[in-house]
Amino acid sequence: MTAASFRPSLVASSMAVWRRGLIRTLRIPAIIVQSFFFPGFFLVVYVGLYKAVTQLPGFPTDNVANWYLPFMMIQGASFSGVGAGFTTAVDIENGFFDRLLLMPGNRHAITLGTVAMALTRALAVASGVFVLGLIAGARPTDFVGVLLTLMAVVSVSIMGSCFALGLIYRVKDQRVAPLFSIGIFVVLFVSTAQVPLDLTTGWLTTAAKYNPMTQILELARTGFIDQGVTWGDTWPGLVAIGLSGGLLAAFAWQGLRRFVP
Amino acid sequence: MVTQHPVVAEGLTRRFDDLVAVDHIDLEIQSGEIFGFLGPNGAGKSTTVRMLTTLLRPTEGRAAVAGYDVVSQSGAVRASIGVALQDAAIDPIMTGTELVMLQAVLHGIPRSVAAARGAELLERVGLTAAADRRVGTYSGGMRRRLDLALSLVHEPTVLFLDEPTTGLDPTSRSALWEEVRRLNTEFGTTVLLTTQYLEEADQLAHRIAIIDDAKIVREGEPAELKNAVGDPTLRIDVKREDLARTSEIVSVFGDERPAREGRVAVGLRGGASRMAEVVRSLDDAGINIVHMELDAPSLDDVFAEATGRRLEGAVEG
Amino acid sequence: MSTTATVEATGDAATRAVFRVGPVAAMARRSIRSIVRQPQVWVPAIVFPMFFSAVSSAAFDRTRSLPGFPEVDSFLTFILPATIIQGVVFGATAVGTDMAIDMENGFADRLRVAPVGRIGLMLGRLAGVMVLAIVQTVVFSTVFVVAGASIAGGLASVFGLVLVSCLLAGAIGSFALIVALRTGSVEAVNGFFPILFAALFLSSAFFPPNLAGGWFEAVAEVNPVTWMINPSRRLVITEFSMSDLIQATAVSFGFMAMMTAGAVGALRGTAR
Repeated sequence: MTAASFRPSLVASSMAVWRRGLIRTLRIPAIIVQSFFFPGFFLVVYVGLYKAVTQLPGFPTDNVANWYLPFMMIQGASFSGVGAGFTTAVDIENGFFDRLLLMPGNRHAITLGTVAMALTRALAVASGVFVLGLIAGARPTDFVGVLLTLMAVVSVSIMGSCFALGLIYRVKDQRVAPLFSIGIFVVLFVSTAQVPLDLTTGWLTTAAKYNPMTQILELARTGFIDQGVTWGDTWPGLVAIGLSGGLLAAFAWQGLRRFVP
Repeated sequence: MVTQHPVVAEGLTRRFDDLVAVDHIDLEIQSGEIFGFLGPNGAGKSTTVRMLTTLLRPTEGRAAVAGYDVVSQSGAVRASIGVALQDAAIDPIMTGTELVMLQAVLHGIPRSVAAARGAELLERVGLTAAADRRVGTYSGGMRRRLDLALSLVHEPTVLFLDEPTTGLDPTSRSALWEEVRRLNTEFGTTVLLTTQYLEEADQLAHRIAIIDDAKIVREGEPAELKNAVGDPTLRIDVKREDLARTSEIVSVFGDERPAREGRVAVGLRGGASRMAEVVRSLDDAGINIVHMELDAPSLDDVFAEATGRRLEGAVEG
Repeated sequence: MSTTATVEATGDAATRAVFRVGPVAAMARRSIRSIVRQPQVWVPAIVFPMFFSAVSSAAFDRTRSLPGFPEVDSFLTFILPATIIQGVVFGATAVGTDMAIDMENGFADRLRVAPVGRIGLMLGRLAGVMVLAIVQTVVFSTVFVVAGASIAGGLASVFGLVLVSCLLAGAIGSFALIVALRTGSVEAVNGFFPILFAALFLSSAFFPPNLAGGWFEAVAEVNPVTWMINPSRRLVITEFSMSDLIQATAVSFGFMAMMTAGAVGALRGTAR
């Protein structure tokens, strides 16, 4: 037999890594609880707390749940990326990552499988939060827009995981893990997460304008604002996803390539 | 690739910044042999294994495993080898069966085949009862045995075992040795194992290389190496005040060898037949012998002769 | 058994030693030093709350125009008390993690022979985060004023905030100690963090509940955190008043007394 014939495809290897991630996640209840708790809790709190915000002139919807639901779905998605980075950090720490590196197939299956796992988690959380949002009073205004929200969730989950993986592949130290969440938190909140761009003031207006998360949130919200989906609200989000997604994917890809020193 | 040897290295070198971890190592491991890589902690054993298993790139030199270059054909290398890494790198949250299945799928074995083979392997290493338990609940010995099973899932032609028994109790250790021997005789698997235990190298390996401070200092069959050290070692314990005189007297009988404090050791020329003479000389000098022993050369002597030091953790001479 | 005998003997000695200042001061110094030497505790506890406040004041500044919003010159002025409490929540849990680590290292055994009373022991442990709370309050107040907030009651009000935050740090620190003593696990201590966060968010800390109305207002009204925030906020946005100071201090003191008692109880459970 020639040994080389035993090299599985990229898809098969990625699937194996994904399946392992799934087993791992389902075994640690704290991960599941936390993934749902934060976006869920904050959705409920924001809807209750900031109800009056929609009365400000220029607010694109008067339904507070419509405004915050897409953001919370995105938040859950971005933290699935933190989880991907964290699992990898633990694997590197205890040596399991070496076992993965010893796979004869394409090593990028490690990244793909891990990102796929984050995506699974993001979609599960987003569905849960979506249902919660409906209960809290959210009413989508445009079905196509909901698909766009889903697309934003998928993209943010991929981008968040690529960011965290790129970082941990380079630093290889568990102590860098807090940076995943800090980085993602800053990007999330220095945007139009809380109010539309026109209503922000001071430094935030400038910072949010150049933060691609603002465009992505706009895209995610088109199906929930009164106006519904318009091309003008959609294309900047698509560009933001394309550009930042591409950069972050390259960041992770390069990181793994250089992983074996 | 022209070579038929399962593991070949030429001038293999690895530097970490200023530190030279592995310094121009040449290796040629024959098909079907158990090759022992013996050396103290930090000598460069693991670094060598990581280069041969494609987990680390060589800074200089080249190596081929199973006929494939470790840099340019690393995927093919990984398809041909089994690796049990130091500390049994295992995810504690998964079960034995799950890990075997993961390993199998990552090596391109269809799930249907993998299930049967995994069960067979777990049985072989005595883990059938624990197969569906989380690995976190396993003992050290069980983890190593699982690690061994994992490294065998895809029937590798070359097996790398990096310090497979470090930290194990004697019973688990001999069980693991037994399994390695069985693999080697039944399937002709070539094994490269690293160890810091003399006994392990002596018991298991057909051939060994002693590595110290990033370089291979001796290489050959254990018996051959031991014979090369030559004369058996005579060790004499005396009172502290007699040490210097004893040393002087016995130096007539052979070259002094490294020994622990309060003890004199020489390579006794002519062997056991001259023991009486030694005793007589000491007695004549009025030296009271506290303890005396004669040892045929051990791998430790080989190590001491090559490096001027005793191997850490070895029985003191 | 001799173990039981030792515990009882120490218990008596401990009661007598409650007021011995020396060992408590030593414990206090140790706990302050421990915080200073862990920038991973105090840096986030100072930076994060300021980041959140910077973002929310830039996002919600226009909501000051909404009818029913208290009259303030800047959203920063409105959320200063919330920022301080958030900082204390971030910082004070460190006592719990320190204790859990100590427990893993066999600290519970050392407690049996400690020459210090249990209350003294707890207070000593809490000193680090209480000092941190003072620093946080002073830093936040200064930075906010520089950034455009104004504190109506001036230094007197800042003093009031210092007092409240210090007591609250004692309360939250004790809460973390209870978790640490009961579980001995760092993860468990961190796991309770969201609960504190939830309590803070379901209060009047970040937005006026009267504007929220509905269930939120009802929840916030019965949330004791609100009882502490409201008088503290009046110290900042209206003027310094003794009654507000007393109200805010009383609530935070009540928290601390309850939690510290709980921690002492948990400690007793551990030592036995």
